[in-house]
Amino acid sequence: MKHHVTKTAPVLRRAISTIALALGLGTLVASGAQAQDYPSKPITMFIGYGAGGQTDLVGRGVAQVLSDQLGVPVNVVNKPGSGGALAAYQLQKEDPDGYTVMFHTDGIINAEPFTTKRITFTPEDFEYAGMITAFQQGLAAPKDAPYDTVAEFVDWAKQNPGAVFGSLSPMAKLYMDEIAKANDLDVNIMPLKSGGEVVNTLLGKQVALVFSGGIHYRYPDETKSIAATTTFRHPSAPDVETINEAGYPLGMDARTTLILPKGTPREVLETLSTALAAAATDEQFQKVVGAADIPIMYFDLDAAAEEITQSYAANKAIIEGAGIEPQ
Amino acid sequence: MKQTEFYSGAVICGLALGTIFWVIPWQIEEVGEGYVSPRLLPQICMWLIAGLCALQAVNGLRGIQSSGVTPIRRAEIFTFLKLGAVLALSLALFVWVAPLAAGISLIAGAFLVLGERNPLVILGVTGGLLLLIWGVFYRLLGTAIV
Amino acid sequence: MDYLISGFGNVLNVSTLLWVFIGVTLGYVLGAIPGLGKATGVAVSIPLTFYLPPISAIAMLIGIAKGSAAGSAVSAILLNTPGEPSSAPTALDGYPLARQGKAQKALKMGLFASVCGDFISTLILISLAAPLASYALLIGPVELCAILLFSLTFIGGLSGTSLVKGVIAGAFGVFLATVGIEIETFVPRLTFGLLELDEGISLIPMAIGMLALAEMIVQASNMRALDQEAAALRDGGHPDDQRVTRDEWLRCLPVIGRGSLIGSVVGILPGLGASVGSFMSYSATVRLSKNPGSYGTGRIEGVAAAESADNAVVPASLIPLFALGIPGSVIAAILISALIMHGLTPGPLMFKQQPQLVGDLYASLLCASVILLVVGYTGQKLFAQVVRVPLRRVVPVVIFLCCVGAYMETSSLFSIYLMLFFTVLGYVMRKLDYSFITFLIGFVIGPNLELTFRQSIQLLDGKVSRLTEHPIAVVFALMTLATVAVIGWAQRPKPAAEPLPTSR
Repeated sequence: MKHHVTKTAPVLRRAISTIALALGLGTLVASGAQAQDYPSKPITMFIGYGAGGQTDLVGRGVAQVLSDQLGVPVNVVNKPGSGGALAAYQLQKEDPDGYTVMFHTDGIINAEPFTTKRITFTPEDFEYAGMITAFQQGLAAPKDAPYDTVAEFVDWAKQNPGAVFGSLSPMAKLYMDEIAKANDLDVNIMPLKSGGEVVNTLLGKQVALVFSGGIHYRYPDETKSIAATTTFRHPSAPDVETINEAGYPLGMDARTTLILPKGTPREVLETLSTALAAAATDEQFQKVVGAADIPIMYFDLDAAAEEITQSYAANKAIIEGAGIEPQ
Repeated sequence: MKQTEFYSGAVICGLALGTIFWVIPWQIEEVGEGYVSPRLLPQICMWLIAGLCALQAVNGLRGIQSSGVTPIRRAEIFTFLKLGAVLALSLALFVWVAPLAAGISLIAGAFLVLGERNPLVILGVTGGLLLLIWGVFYRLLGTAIV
Repeated sequence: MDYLISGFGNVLNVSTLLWVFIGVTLGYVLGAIPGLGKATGVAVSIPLTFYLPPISAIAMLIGIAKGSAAGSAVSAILLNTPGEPSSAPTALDGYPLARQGKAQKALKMGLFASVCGDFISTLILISLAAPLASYALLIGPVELCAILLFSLTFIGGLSGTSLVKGVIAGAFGVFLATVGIEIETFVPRLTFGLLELDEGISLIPMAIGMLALAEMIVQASNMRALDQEAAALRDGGHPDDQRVTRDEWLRCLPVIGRGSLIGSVVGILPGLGASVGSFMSYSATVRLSKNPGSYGTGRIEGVAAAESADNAVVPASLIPLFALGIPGSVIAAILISALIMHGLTPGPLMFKQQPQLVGDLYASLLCASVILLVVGYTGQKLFAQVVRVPLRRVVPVVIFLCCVGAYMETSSLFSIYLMLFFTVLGYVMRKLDYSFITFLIGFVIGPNLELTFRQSIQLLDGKVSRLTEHPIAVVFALMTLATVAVIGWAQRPKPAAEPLPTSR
């Protein structure tokens, strides 16, 4: 994909702006914008998933808030492909001027590189303007399952060999593999394609346990959480232990992050970070993510950079420790 | 002998065998036990294609035409070349200049190579279409595509 | 029932109807633009509805979904460019009809079939949502695998004049569907190191390239003759060419009924989607016809079959959503967020806690069907003028729309390259008479079949004996065998009469 590598992207964007101006298409355009008067033209926001997903939902909500705060349009561009890697590679080639940003889960930087051979990002490859939400990933089971904790599940699975675990991704499989390995369980791992399938298999009772991105919280009458696979307890189920508390140090988070190209000026990051903070208290945004059971956990730019460096090391240890080879 | 039947069957059969013995082992890694091999389905498809294409080629040799084949016409090759050139130019403009320029060259260029000479039509349709796309995406839906 | 009647009272006011109207119109236009499907339309419109009252908001979103399912037929018929993949079978007979000067007839039938399918499916939703949904849960991967196997076998015999070539094309479709990360082992297959291919080859650029662009090349090379032909047909055209005759109505009614049922069933089953529905309905119609060879040359029944099923999928996929809170389609999944945001939690409790809101919703769904008829009827008269324009003025517009449609899903030029690749492939397949219908069907159903097969192996713990726990699957497996036997017998003289899926 050589055309992505060209250094002409700035020319291109400027040309669009100029033509947009020439056609009288509305937006104010200031060529050669400085960091001080940032932002003075529309911002493009990449989302590395297709329209309609959970990250897209949060991202479009954030774009709305940022646009209100900064006074310029924030245009969302969906660039799905390889879990967001394509959008991230594209972002690296954009000018570090804050007019192209990416909204994505931090997993693309702190987890994907350890499971996918062709993705080689490190935390140093990007700048971060903050984090806004965290997905409530965890292990879920049908409501009437005769176990409520990981330990109880292990006991039950020993009595019931061949129990079925539903898995969406290599990371999801890792949890069951590690638990099975530690306890010598016989578990069948069934591949799933989407969050919708996670719910279907739970409600149809086709699985004993499933890795859920948090979508099962919408069905409190039919499903329950067995453990949170995040490092924090879920706000939607504060009594359920985390996987670390259950004795398996495998906790990994997925936080939606505002990612920028390397070399973006600090003032720009600060402007974006402040605008992002407004999302945490914005009523409309709270309503959007609240409806999807996605808790808001705002980190400013420094906290975000700290979090990503620290989780990169932690996840690396967990994933490599589990013996997962990048494919 | 039905030449097209024979040659197309033989060529596709060869390609399918090449895929089975070369491309699939190269491009799909084998995994450990306990899984259905990721190579299984592509291999089944390719064996099926290889077998049936061989059959088609043999039938062609024996003079059996399994279905209609239309000859490639010279005018179609020309159209391919003409429109291909317009597309290539537009892609180049998209990468090196601007998406808008690419849009203009794509619509106006296609008009020109297909023999439209009325400047009103060319300008009007080009401008109108681009404005429509801009209106639908950027104004109405509030989303960007480039 | 009472709630439904009072629901009409709440919905039949200017402001709500206006929003439904806006939704349907917007959807109709979006649907007609190639590549911009229902899912994208609904997803990007959710923010627009923030400021509306709940019923208006949801009715507008559903209006968009319904409108775009119908609108996609317009470009399929007039330009041979399906607005979304599920209308690809509509183009197979609709476009030849348009070229014969019967565009209005095809458009009208497409619209009527759409509205009928939509209406029937909505009625099924209203009357049967709760009882049906509990059965939908009985359909797990094992059952789904058997059902898909059955439908592929059924479709396998469709392949036009030559079964051999049809199966070759279908197998190639399944093969190309395996490109990308394999979902169980996460091994990349046939991606040649391209990250763009990790999630597989996208159906939209493929369908646009094979169906629309390849056809445009052929036509552009033959413009003068085709234009004269069209002009001659137009001038000497019988008024019956512009409307649906009573005879055609009678022939199409059973087709529409069957299409609506197939679409409804496909919509209720999780994870199949509108493309599977319309292809299945189309192929069922062809297979049951006395003269299968005449399809693809402009049979009005083909349009009716594809469109009725395509539109029936949308309301039916809301059945598991409303009754159980399970999303049966991408649209339903997106609607969950919208419903919750507007204070309606999908699921069984919804009927108990907010029966009035549900009644309102049903009423607005039915209104949307009627409004769809009005919008579509007005719209198609405008759109139908396209056939009067000479080809040299149509082709550039189509090419541009094709490029936008292919590009916009991923916002990357890779999709354009894919589209061009499939243009060439589509052209060659046309010339050598390999059916690209079976190719596309293989591509659509193949991956679901492989996934459910892999899931079944895990669920059954690798033991065939455990199939006895899945009686529905056994029934469909037996039906598959019966179909194979029947087709095999009918095609005896040809040595390779086995349809594609039996190879599994």
